[in-house]
Amino acid sequence: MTEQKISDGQGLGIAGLVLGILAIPLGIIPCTFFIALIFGVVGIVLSSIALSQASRHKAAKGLIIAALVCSILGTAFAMFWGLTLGRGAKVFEKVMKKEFREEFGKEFEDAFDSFSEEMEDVLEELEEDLDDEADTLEKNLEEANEESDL
Amino acid sequence: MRNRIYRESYIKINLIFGVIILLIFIYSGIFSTEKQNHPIPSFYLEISGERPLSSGLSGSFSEIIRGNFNNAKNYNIYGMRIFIFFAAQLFFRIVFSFIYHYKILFHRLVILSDCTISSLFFITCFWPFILNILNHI
Repeated sequence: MTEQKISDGQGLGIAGLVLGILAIPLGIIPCTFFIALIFGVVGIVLSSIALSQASRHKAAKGLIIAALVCSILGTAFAMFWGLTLGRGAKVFEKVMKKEFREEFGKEFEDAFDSFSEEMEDVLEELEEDLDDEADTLEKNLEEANEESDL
Repeated sequence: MRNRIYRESYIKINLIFGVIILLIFIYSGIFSTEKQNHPIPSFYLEISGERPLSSGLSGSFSEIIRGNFNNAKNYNIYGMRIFIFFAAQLFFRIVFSFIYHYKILFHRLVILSDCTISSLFFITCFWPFILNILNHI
């Protein structure tokens, strides 16, 4: 019974310490910050449960406190990369929008202008053709009328 | 009684870390850069589209495991440092567990030296990554 009381929370403490220690290098490495975040948060939860169990039964707390510290440190590193990435993503979005407007906006404008110019030319040509056709029709009609009068 | 618990805990933790480091080496051995079949993606690269300092570490580890040290540098310049850290940790886990189990030194002294040596070694090997974090602040 005494042994049970003294060792209360030690299993969870060991699990928390392992996860916390793993979270530190994984959190420092930018590529694996997401895994570190999971390990760190789970480590904090396990260590907190272990700490409450140990406090309740007045068991040894050294290992559990070490687990909590390591988990918090690992989570902090992981969160740092997460926040940097979030900030970076916003900047990236703004830059991309600006670049899109500058690069493609101009292209679209130029393309639209050239298209409208072409359309105007085509319309003018069509109008000229229609006028010519109308003139020839009128001439033909006049000739036909003259022939019938004669 | 408390001493026994700590003794068991220390050995257990060393054993767990030893197994994890061995699994990392097996992972690097199974997946190769030739096949490009590493299953863990770079979350940072995927989200930001920017190549981080740690990009290519898995590839570098795979090359080191196969003895291609020059190729390992091409994948990640700091791959060797990090690999040495893990290899040294595996060695430390075995040595410190041995010292602890056979009571060659006082238990507190073993734990304290382990924490100090491992922390200093960690800072030395991960220094470029720590500097990277400091530069981003």
